[in-house]
Amino acid sequence: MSGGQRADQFVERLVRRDERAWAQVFATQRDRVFGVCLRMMRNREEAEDISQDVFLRAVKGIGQFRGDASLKTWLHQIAHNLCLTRLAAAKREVESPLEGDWIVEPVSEEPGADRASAGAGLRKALERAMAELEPSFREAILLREVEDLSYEEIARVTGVSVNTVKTRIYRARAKLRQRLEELR
Amino acid sequence: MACEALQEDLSAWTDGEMTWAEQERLATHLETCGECRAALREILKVSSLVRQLPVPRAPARVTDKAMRLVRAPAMPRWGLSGKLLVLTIAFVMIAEVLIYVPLIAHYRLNWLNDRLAGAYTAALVLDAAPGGMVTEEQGRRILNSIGAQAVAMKMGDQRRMIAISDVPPPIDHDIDMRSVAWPAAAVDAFADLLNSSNGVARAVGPAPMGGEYLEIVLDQESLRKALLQFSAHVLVLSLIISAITATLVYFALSYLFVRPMRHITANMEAFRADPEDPTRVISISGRRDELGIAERDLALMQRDLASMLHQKNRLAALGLAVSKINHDLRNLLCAAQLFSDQLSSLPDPRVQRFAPKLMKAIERAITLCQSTLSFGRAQEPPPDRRPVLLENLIEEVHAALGLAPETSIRWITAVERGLMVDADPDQLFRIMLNLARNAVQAMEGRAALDPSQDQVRITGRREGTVVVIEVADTGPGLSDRARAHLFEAFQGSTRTGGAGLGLAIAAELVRAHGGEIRLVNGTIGATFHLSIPDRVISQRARRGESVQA
Repeated sequence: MSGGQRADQFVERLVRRDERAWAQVFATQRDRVFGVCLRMMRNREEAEDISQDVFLRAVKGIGQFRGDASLKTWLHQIAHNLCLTRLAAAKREVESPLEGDWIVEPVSEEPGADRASAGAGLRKALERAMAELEPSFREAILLREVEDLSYEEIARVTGVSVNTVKTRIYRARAKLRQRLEELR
Repeated sequence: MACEALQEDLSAWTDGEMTWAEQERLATHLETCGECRAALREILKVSSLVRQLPVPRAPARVTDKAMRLVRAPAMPRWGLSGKLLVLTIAFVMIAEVLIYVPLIAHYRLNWLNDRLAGAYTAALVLDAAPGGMVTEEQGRRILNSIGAQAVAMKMGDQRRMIAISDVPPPIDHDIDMRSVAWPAAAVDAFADLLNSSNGVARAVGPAPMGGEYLEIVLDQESLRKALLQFSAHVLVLSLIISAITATLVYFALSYLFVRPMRHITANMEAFRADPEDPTRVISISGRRDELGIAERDLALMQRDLASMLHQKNRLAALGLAVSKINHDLRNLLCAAQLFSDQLSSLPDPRVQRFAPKLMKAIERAITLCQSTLSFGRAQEPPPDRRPVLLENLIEEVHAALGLAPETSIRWITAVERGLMVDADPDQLFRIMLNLARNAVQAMEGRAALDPSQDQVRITGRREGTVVVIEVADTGPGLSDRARAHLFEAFQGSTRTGGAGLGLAIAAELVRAHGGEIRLVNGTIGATFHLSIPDRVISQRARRGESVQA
């Protein structure tokens, strides 16, 4: 059995609303979708709201999912559309705090107080620098570095050309480097 | 900075997004350009920093709603109500079409008759007019009122023009209204309806005052227009009627059928989620129709199932407790056996007298524990069947029984020579051993009436594809109480001290062979009759065997 067939079968199970298949999707993708939403919205409640909506829509719309993209890309695509709509509607981008409860704390701190605090400082600076990026740049770099999507997949998620993705990622990196140097 | 354009490529390169050719070009460039090398280092540094960003933990509630949606039963796309709605509309429309055919034919005839009636009146009036002639102006008025181009009457061999428009047009089509046949009228109506050529038709009808016939010449287009208008009215009316009917049917069926059906379905789903909860048994609406019966039966079934499950669970818990107690008890008894063994070595004559009895009692208790435990584990493997020579097997059983040499019980076997049974040898051995031991113990357990008569008799024979084995003894037989629950576990033993498991196990094993075991009535002592059918071997398996052979 080829991988494609297996993926097809999995999607078929999803369409049939197989509980275990969906549980698997939720378990593997919940944190990922939520993470991107959180860093995009910089607001925990909204990120929760949006991710909840993403999965609801995924369940409802799985019939429209075509196997030409991976399920992960598809979920990110839904999340992208929802985040964009919210951002455009509320113009939150201007008001949302650069620091706040949305900042992600690592699940377990490394032991060793010095290293941890130094790491924490750098991480905070990075989160802040990320927060200052334009949303489209932030999204591109998040999907690339944290979610490990290819340029083509990012292009599909965000609905722009691969070249635009390439430029966005380059600019995002350049800006992050610049801000990190300033913040340090 | 000359290399700025290249740095975007460098960024893509670190992501593995460049072609081989581009990669090579970049590599060559990097060898010579220190600035780009520094830029690459920076890119990699930032990239690795971002990669280390922690992935946040999403609260589980994020997917709760979606999971509920997954679990929710998908509503059928076309529910019963929807299907019924569409069907009702379709049926009403069919009925309307069936009505429409005679209606349109009738309408056409009426329309033509109206025109002819106008002409008839005109002819009458004309007859009363002075000179029997009309002026041109009067003629036009007559034609307008009838909607015709010419009106004429035939009297005898003379054809009298009553009124005529300026240019008499050529006739394309004749319609005779004096003799109308029904199917033809319907066909004509559709022909007129579909005929879009702008022709002229002549309609012929009965004439007054001894005239032979009256004829009018008219535009076919006006007839067609009238027919189309009529059809449109019928269509609109049909649509309204079917919409009203369908809505009524929809609501009626929804109320009578779909709603209670949904109630039942929802209840079944709720019940399935937790069948042990007695509050989930369907509440009966008290309807007297088929759905009411379905509800009542469902409620009964659910209640039975719930109580059965409840009982099963209690039994399972009880069984677990029993097996734990049994296990400990067996260990204690083993210890007791050890002590009594040592006790029996004491020289005291009273001890010497009671010790063997004590030993025997303890031994029996241990056996009881053991067999109860093994029944509790009770999943017998499916029989591994092969041909078994029954004579040999029964000989083994005899040996395993270990009848005391001084016993008076006679052991008689009457098995057809070379009789093969298609069975699992181990399981068949256990079946036979249980039955034989029961027989022997039944006879040992009672006061001997005539010891020389005591016997265990085992017969075996083949009846077609079934092997029949009977185990008979001359013991006291079985009490009614024992007969009632003969093959059920723990339902009382046929003898004192037994667990009542032997027959239960034997019956289970026989059933696993697709066979049957029963007690034969009306014999001295007890006779068990068991039949073990051969396996049904498929043609293919047999062919495989013969090929192997």
